[in-house]
Amino acid sequence: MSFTSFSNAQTLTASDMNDNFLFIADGNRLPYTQGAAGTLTAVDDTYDLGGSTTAWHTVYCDNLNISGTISTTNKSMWSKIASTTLSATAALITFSGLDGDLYKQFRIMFRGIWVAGSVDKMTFNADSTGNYTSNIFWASTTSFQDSVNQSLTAARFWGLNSFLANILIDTATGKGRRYIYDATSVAAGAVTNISFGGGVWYDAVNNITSIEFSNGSTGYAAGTEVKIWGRV
Amino acid sequence: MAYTPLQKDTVISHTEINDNFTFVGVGDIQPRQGVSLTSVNDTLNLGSDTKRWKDIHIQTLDMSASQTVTNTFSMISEVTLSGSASEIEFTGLNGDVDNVYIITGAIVSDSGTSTPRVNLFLSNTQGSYSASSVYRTQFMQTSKLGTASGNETGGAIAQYANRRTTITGECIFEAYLFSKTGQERLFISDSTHEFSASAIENRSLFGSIWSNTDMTITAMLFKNNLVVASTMSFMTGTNIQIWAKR
Repeated sequence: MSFTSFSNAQTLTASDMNDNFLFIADGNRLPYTQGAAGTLTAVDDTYDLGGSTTAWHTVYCDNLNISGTISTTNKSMWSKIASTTLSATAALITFSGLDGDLYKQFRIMFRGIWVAGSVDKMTFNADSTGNYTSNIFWASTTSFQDSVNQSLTAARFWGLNSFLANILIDTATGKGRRYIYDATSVAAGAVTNISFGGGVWYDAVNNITSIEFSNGSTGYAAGTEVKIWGRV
Repeated sequence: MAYTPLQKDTVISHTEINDNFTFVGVGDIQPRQGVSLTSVNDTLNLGSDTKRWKDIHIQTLDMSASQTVTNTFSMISEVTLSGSASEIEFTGLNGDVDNVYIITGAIVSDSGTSTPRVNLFLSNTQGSYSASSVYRTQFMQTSKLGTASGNETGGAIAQYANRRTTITGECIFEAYLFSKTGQERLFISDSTHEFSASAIENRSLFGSIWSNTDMTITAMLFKNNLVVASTMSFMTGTNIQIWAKR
């Protein structure tokens, strides 16, 4: 089926007219632009469905394929905003270009592999001036301990060796930024440590624009993966 | 480019015909309505519940209301207090539809002399709430006073200290609630609380049970467990969000 651009004094066939309607409305709906010689050419990533003041009410579909960004007025979805997978050992893992006020909350999934380390640390905006406090609670196969109320130069969480940590951070300015985390550590196919904790970065003013991770020693090995999700 | 409605006994040029096709088919596809195809806002749908588009491919998604995407968590309700309140309630829920809730928030605590919990009460199908004695909580926590664990009545989801003296005296929490009838409703919650600009009061883990198995959850009520006996309130800025798996 083709699209026909009509000319002056042209006699149309019913088929031509019907085909034009079908071209536009039948089957898959594609974004079209006017092509050469009055044709309609499908284009990619150019046109919108609806507008900021002329929105569709509800979209019904089986699959939603989005290659760019998602936003909701009430920030009611989580969307991945940054991630990295190390291909080589790194002493620091830094995410820059963040906007804590835009997203309000970050959720971080950290699959870490230590080269060597002592405790995992998280700093915001490269602030290492003792503006942090944390409580950490952990259980190993042989002991049960806590580490409370420490004034620190970084927000702490505790994975060991090879771990998975889930971290939730309140990121909006106006109050100290609080976080909570859970972590499970493994070695040689067995769980060696579970931990949960939380703390605060005592800066209520500066927007969070970067987060840096380190582990107090030689850092993280290849395969370490960090994903940051924000409310959009 | 304009859209020209066709009229009986009116000659229309080929340009106008072509423009009509272009108006409808080229460029941004707007929701349009009426004989002049005027664009309208938040009125028309793409597809329907039984006539769905198969795949939608887009660069950017901008939604102003809610979304329902199978197997994802979406925020279905949120409260941010502009003044103090003794309790916060969410209604219009259906725990059997939602199956699992994530409840997260930041509690701004009142001052006081005790160490209250934030308790969650779940509605029964009669629209009332079961007494705290129907709930049971196991907890462990680390605080500046040391570690503690215990078992108590009530469905606790967060604990904060009484010694709030500054605006930073707040706690954040995140809880998972399995809400479907047929078995006891369990929820687990992490919380942490700071009570001044230089210290974390505690970090707590709660596991709780509502022993009711057959009543659909239709509402949630958040209260300080001492609210009746004291002046403890949720203060301005307190924020609670309900997320559901749909």
